[in-house]
Amino acid sequence: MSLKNYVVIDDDPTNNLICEFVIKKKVPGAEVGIYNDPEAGLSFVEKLETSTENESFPIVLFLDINMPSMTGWEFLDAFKKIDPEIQKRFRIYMLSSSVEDFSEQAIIYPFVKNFLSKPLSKDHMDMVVGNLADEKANNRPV
Amino acid sequence: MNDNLSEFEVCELDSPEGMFGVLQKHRPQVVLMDFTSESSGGFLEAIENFEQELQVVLIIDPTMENEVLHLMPQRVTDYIFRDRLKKLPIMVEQLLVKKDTGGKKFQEDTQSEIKENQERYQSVFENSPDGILLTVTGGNILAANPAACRMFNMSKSELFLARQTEIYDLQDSRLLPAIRKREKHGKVNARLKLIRKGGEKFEGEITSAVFKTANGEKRTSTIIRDISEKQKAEKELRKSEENYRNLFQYNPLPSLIFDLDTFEILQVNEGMVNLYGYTKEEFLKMRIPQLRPPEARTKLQEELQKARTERGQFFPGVINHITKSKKLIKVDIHTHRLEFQKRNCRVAVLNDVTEKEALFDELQEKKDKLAAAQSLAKLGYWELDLDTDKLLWSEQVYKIWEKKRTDFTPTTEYFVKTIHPDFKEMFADQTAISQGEVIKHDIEYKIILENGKTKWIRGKGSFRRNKEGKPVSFGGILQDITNQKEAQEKLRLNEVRQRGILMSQTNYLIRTDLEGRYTYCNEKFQDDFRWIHHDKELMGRDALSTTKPYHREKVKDVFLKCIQNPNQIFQVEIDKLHEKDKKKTTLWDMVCLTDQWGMPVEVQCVGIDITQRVEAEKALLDSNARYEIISKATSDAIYDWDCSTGKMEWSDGFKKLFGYELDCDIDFWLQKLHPDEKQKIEESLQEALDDNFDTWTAEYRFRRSNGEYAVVEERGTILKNEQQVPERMVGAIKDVTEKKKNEEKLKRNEANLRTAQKIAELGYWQFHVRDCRVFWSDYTFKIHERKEEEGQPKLEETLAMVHWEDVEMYTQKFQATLEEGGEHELEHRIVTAQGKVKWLHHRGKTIYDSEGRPVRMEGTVQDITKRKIADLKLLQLNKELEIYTKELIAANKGLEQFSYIVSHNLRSPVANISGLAELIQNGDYEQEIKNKFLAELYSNVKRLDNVIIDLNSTLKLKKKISEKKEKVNFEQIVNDIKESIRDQIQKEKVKVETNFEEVAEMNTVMSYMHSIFYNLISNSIKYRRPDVPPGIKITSEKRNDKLLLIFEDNGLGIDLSKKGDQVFGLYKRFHNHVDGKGVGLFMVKTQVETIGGKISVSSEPDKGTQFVLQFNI
Repeated sequence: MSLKNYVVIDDDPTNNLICEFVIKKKVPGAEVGIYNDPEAGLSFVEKLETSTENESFPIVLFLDINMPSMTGWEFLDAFKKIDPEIQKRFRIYMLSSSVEDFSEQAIIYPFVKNFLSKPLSKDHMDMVVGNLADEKANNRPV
Repeated sequence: MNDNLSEFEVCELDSPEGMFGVLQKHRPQVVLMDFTSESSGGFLEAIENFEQELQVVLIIDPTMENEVLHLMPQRVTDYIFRDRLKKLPIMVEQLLVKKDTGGKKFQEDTQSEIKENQERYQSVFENSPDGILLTVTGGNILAANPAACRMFNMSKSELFLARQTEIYDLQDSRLLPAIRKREKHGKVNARLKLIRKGGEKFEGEITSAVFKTANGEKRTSTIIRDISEKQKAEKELRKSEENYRNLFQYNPLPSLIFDLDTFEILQVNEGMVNLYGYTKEEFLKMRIPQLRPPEARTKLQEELQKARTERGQFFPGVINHITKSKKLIKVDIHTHRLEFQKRNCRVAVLNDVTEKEALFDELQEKKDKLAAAQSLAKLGYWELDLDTDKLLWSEQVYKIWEKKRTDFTPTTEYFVKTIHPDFKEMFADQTAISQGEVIKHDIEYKIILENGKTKWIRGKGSFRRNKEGKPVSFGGILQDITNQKEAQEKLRLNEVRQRGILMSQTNYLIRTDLEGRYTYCNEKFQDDFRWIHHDKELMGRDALSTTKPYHREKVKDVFLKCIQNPNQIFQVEIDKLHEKDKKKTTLWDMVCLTDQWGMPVEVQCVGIDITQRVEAEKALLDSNARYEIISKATSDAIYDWDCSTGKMEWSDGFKKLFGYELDCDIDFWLQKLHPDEKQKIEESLQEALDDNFDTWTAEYRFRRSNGEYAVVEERGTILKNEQQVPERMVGAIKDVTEKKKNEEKLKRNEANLRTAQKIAELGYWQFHVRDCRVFWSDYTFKIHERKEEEGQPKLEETLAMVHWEDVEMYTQKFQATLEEGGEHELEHRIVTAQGKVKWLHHRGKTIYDSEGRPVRMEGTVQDITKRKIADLKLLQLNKELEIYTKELIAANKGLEQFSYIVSHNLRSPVANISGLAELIQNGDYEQEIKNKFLAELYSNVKRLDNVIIDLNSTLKLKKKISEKKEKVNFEQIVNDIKESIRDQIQKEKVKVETNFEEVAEMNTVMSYMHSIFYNLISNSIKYRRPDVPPGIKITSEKRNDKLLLIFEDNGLGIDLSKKGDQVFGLYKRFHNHVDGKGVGLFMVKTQVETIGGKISVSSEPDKGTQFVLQFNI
């Protein structure tokens, strides 16, 4: 398995396509993992546990909310139960077509970095990359 | 037997002791004995006691002839002088021959008979339980049977040696008379004291008879029966009989014994004589039916039959009897079966309850009047909606169950849970109620509340039916009857306790020994006086200890008198100690009982608590005294007029009323009459005197000393002499000025009131507490449309006019005001005498007397029907508004869902389009990638279009509320759909199986039904299992008036445990691989519900899904 520092989980192939190109445009050479199935995405996250690679570079995860077999919230509930060491490596951004207010969920899932409205844009990526840079400067997760 | 004369033995004996042995050894026929007066008595006795008869010849000195003659012939056969012994052989021979000839002949004739008799006698003798002694009359014991040995505790030989004086008690005064009697008659039956070995004395019944032997010698047979045990028992019996007789005779309650076969009266006590007035002799000639009034005798037969068949106790209850003077009395009768004079009898104890019953009747009448009001007072109302199973309770029901309306909703389950286990069965068939099989019920049962309290409930219920006669609800009234039940229970208990004389709760029964210490106290007495002693023990205590100190001397006197005069009754009133230093006044009958010798044994006292009676008597005295004071203080002017002299004597009242001195004569009186009336009154009085009237009454004005005129009423009695000439007139003048004024005022007031009421359209009413009388003003009559000719209504009638739904509230308010005072105000409906329903505004308040007791309630009623109707309309409008609001809220929810669809399902293709456009615009990608973007762009535009189409159809569906209904054939629909998607069916090898045999069609909206079938079938195809060709089975079923349509497939299935609640939501999908839109099942559900059905789903992943549609037929 190759190293991936960007992961997108959404059942909508169009969105995944857009994400891939927008990410690569901002971060050329980025490894982008695309998962149409949330279950497959979760299994990838869980498998990091057994991975021999200990390098602790952060992974940015774009997660859709409205998926038929498993919603984004259900994904987050499962995510909370995996090895905390693995959890630490993820910077999660919720990506949804809704224009709803997610302040309640922000309280329930405090580790979610931000709630983004589709489509993923250049501005979004500027913020994501900026956050990573700040983190690096302060040498701790922000 | 020694026949040979030559055979003889010579024995020398110094003392009689050896004699017995010698006799036994040789068994001689003749004994020759050297006789000296000093020594030979003992020898003779030994011979006499020997079992065999002997001839005794004494050899004596001639000087002793007289002495020996005295012993003949009983103890000695003959004698011979010492100096003439030559005669001896001849003499002996004669003796033997005499005996021989007689004996031989006898023997020959009856040898066998003798033997037989001997045997028989021997058997009786040996086996008799009675002791049998055979003695020489007045002398030694010759024979004794085993029973006698046991009785005297001696062996046979001991008995033979015993003197009679050793076994009879010489101190027994009966002994000598018995012996004399036997001497005279040869036989005696007697009871004598006998002595066992060791000195113990016992009572024996003795039959003793003297007979002569063949030789003419006297012998006695004595049969002894040990009756010491028997006598003890007899003594006990006599004592208990005595006690019983005393109880019967001295019982203050009238008692009698009658024969159950003939109904003859066999015995009566003093009480009967006192109550009925017959003498004892008269009673004993009467039969039970004669105690009954003639008209009651027919029923008597039945009751007496019962008295005959019942065992033990029998209580015929309260029965009418007549006394000798034909007075009707009521007696409460308790009877008990017993044998008396060998006849089958009952002893009856009668309690005169005539006055009690009369009082009770009067009370009952009053109670009945109140009952109507009271029974309504605590009624609760409940209703069970059979459709919704909703249970409605009125306020009173909440109160009974001790629940608050605000935080408790009653359910049938809860109600059933509270029913006492003993009554569960009664309610067991709840289904019968819910299915309307029970027509109505009227039951009494118990409930247990959560706090453990139990209550008695009376419930009545019936069905309320709709126009078609179908039961819609089951409702009724409930009443808490715990108090009544408890009272009944208490009453029953009391009655049980009252039964029986000894256990009487009204009578005391005690016995004391001659020192006045208690030997028996019945329960009532124990209950009342046990507390006096700290150990609660009365037995053995001095009877004076329960008596008030000031009565102790008196009690002592009576007690002494009582003992000095046994069997005589002494009555005494005693104040006994009572708790808290109070006293208990009691009335006692004391009698000293004696034993069979007439010696005092104990004192028996029957007493009764008369505290209340004494108090009542005192109260009566008080009230008499009060009456006198009142009559003295009466304000009437009482006069005594001497017609001949014209002089009048006046009571104090005259001065008080009119201010004149008391010496005024008739002329003075005439002067003070009002001038307008003087002539008329004078004439009227003269007329009464002249025409021999007995009384004279008049109403007139009389001048007071202050010049005012009083209105007075006069009533006089004219007394005449023998010649019928009026002599005196005695009478009273009463000042009625105030009364008249009040009457006038009242008349004016009433007139005013009437006018006022008419103007205000107010009716006035009164309710009098004392007699439950109701008064209505004429306007109240008008409001109720009751004709005044019908008179004032009774309380029940007024309550009956209150609308049934308002009765509970009405009586509650009414009752509360009556009990707690204050005022009440309510609005309620009535049904007028003409059947019209009217709304009334009702006000009432309680009026009290000077002592604070409620006298009456009064108030007003006003017809507010018009206002009420307006109010109700407003209420109706409000309700409608509420319904509209609910609908609006529902609509708003739909809108929310719509907004969600817009935000998500519209937004996601839009977001995609926008993202792709951005990439195309700003990126310098290869054509291949650009083409891919364009393709995605196109697909998302298409997606957007589809969403809009779906939304449109959903909105359309929601808009169409009703469409035309028609007969829809299921098979037809399935065929149409199969035709329209023929290509798909062929491609996927879909199998559609149908079975519409049970129900082939239904009346509904065609387009909806079509859409439902289409969506469900295509859903099954869409979510097929990839490895199995899709199979769909559609069947119709009829179950309990419902039509079921069942769609079954063999597809992917849905994990309902995870997503069960979302199956029918809009835009819900459960599979990622299939291009579903999440609209189909939402549509199906909406459509099914629109045509009045329900849909449910059951499914298992990888097995298939089943949808069940349910419609009312």
